Amino acid sequence: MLDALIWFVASMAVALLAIVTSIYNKLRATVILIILSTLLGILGYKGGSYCYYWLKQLGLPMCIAADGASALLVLLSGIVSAAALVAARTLKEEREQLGLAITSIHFTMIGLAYAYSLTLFYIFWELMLLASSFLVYLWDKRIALQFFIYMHAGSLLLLVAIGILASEKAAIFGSSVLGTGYGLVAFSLILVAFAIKLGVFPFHTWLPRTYTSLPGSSAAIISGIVTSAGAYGLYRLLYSIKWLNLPQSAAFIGFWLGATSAIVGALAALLARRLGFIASYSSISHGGFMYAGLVSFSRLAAAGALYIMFAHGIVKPLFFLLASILTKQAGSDNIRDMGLYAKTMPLTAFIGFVTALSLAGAPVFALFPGEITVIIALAEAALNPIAIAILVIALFLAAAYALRYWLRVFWRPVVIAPRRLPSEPPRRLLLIPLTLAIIAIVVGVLPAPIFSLLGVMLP
Amino acid sequence: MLGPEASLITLTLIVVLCSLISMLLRDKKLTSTMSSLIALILVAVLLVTQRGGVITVNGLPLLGFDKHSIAMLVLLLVSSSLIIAMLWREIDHVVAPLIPWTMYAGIIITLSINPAILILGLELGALSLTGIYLSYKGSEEAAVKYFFTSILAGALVIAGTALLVSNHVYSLTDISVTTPSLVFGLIFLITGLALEVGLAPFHPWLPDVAANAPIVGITLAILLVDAPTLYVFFRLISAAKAMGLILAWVLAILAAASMAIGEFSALVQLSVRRMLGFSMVSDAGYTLLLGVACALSGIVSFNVVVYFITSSNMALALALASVKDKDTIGSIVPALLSLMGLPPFYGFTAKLSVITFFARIGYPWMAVTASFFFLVAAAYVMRYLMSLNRDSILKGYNIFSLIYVIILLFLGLYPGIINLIG
Repeated sequence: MLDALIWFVASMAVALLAIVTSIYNKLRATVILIILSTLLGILGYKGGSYCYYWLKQLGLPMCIAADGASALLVLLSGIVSAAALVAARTLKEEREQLGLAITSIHFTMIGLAYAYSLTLFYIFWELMLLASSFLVYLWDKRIALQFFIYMHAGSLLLLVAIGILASEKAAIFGSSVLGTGYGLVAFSLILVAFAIKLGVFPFHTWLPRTYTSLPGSSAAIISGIVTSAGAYGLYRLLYSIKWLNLPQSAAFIGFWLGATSAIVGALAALLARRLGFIASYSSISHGGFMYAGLVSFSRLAAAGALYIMFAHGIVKPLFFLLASILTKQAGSDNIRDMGLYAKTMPLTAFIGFVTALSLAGAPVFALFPGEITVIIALAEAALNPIAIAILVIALFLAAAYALRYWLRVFWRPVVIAPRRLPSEPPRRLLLIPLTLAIIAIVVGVLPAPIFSLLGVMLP
Repeated sequence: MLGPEASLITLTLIVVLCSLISMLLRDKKLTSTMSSLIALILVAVLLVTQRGGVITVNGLPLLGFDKHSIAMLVLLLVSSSLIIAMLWREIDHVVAPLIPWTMYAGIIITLSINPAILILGLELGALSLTGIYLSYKGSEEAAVKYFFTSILAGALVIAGTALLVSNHVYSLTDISVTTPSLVFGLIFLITGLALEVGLAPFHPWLPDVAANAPIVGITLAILLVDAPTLYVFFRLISAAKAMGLILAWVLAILAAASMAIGEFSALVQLSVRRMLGFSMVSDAGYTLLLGVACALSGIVSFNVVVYFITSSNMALALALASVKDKDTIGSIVPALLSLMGLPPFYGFTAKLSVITFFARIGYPWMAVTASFFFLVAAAYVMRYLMSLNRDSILKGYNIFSLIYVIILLFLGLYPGIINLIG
């Protein structure tokens, strides 16, 4: 039963090679190695588990195993890392050691996906934080410090929760823990820790500031992989540990936190003028959606939330790359300075269209299958109809801000003085956004493979 | 495999011989340093190969060669050897002979079971470190501050010892508080040790000395005197059975105050050496909190305290040794990351063990308190790291600092080795 271990080691070794090639700035080799490590990482999702006692005295083991959710995270990380690396080159958003930061994040994602004990999970969680802080540091030291401290606060809450769970003999995923007493304390700490990571309101303040301080390709990594990892982490800790006798109110509070975030984020995105802020607040809204689905303790809602995680991980980088291209071509990222761009930038307008409808959760676009699954699952779980109505309102608001952005940028008639419209960017700049747009459509049209992948769940 | 008595005699001989050789090699800086380096390595080997036991005289236990103490000493000696190799240019024939004596003091302090032996170790450490501080120009003030603090600490420990002995308590590892004079004795002893380790409110001397003492002196002080004293401090607190709830709470508040003063003061420092000095103040607080938790719960985990003390003091020593020279400045990054408790460095093992231990013995509030101060520590460490020049970080390593970093990494990946050493 060492299959998972073999795939894990092989995938990590290739990812490590990608780190080395990125240090020497070999883009092609790095991208190939990232894709290879992703394929190897996905293959281990049915392959048993392996444990090694790392700190025997404290009963803290290191365990490896993977399921469908792990494979989905690895796949997402591979797609976004490779896309961001190429986009950074084509959009001229490179910095020395940027490749190192991106490949390191991908490396830690594989580790996170395979971690099957709390200790190993935390180790890769912290390494991911370090690598993502380094990525932010390459662009803005002050924001990097704020980002690190905010995220580390969440990590330390998680560490205390891990300490409590380990003391309750639940250090390995698949264990049971009583959701009362100290178990309830651990549960509450986990809820807050992942709310921070997902940028759930009111723990969201780091998110718009960080996203808008980065160029498109780097923001794609933070929004597409790092934030999505929050949803994966929450899933792993809530569903791979059996919470016995957990008071209903605890999950209920968590649900309302997510639903509030979905509404607040969508409203803020509706009022935002800069593309970066629209993307950021939209992330807060989607984060809330995922959070509400995951804390509902319905397996179907969790699958829906993981689907949103994957779709969000594709669409948000797409939006950031598109915003970067628009800013480069138009010289501003304020949607008030834009309009009628569809006339001169038809291909960009098409990509914008896919982005807008995906963000809106429209049918046959990326986020739709996940969002509808979460809502159906919550209705089946006989949740308070008001709570479900809140999520539906959030969906309407998402449609509103997505369409507002698309109409403002590409269609709104110019009411100020007539001006020269920006030209279509070179095709090579659009290559990666177009690829991501196609993936977004495929994810929306063909949800079955991902749902069947998510059907393979660890106990 | 030597017994405890033979081990003590052999290591005393090594110390005397090596310090004599260092003294005789007046004009040969490298050879003189080599001699003290050999002393450290030989003693480390001796400690690994000895077979453990207790040295007693007339039925009184004096020194105990237990596995946790030995493991801690070996780690500290290996670290000290690497620090000396890193800083060999700054060591002359006056400093070199004092290094084996500082090491000897550290060993005596760590292994001491009897309070009188503890006093011997503390005084020997104070004298040899003061000598090292005084050997460098511009460090006189630090030397005087350190010397007077140590003398005062020593006096308090002597007073405490006298009260303990008058109550027929001869062992530091088993104190049952039964009479008021024994309580006072314990308070004197704790205060003396608190002063020595820089626990708040007895801390103001420590950041000054950390900022102004010679790098060789302060790194050796951290590894060979501070770490052993912290260990004894922990042992004393955790072994004080029936300490009484009031005294335990007073100590817990003192620990929290020390963590708060240390971490928040470090946050506002502009000098990295003062910042690390305040970090030592908070480390004393964490150690005391661990001791109080053990005393209250009756569960003593020497593994956890050895992880904590060695990881933080090893990281502090490397950070201080790296900060001065552009050839070694790069190693300050892993050192501080380890100090901050980030994986995969050794500091992470310590942080995880401390949090898990607090949760396991039923004090999650202690885990939350410690986590909060870990966050403050992370803030000042990251603020400093982000101010460093990236190019100098990548190039600033020499062979010894690199080995030190690898050790921090190895201990993080495989902490079980510590139990094998002991």
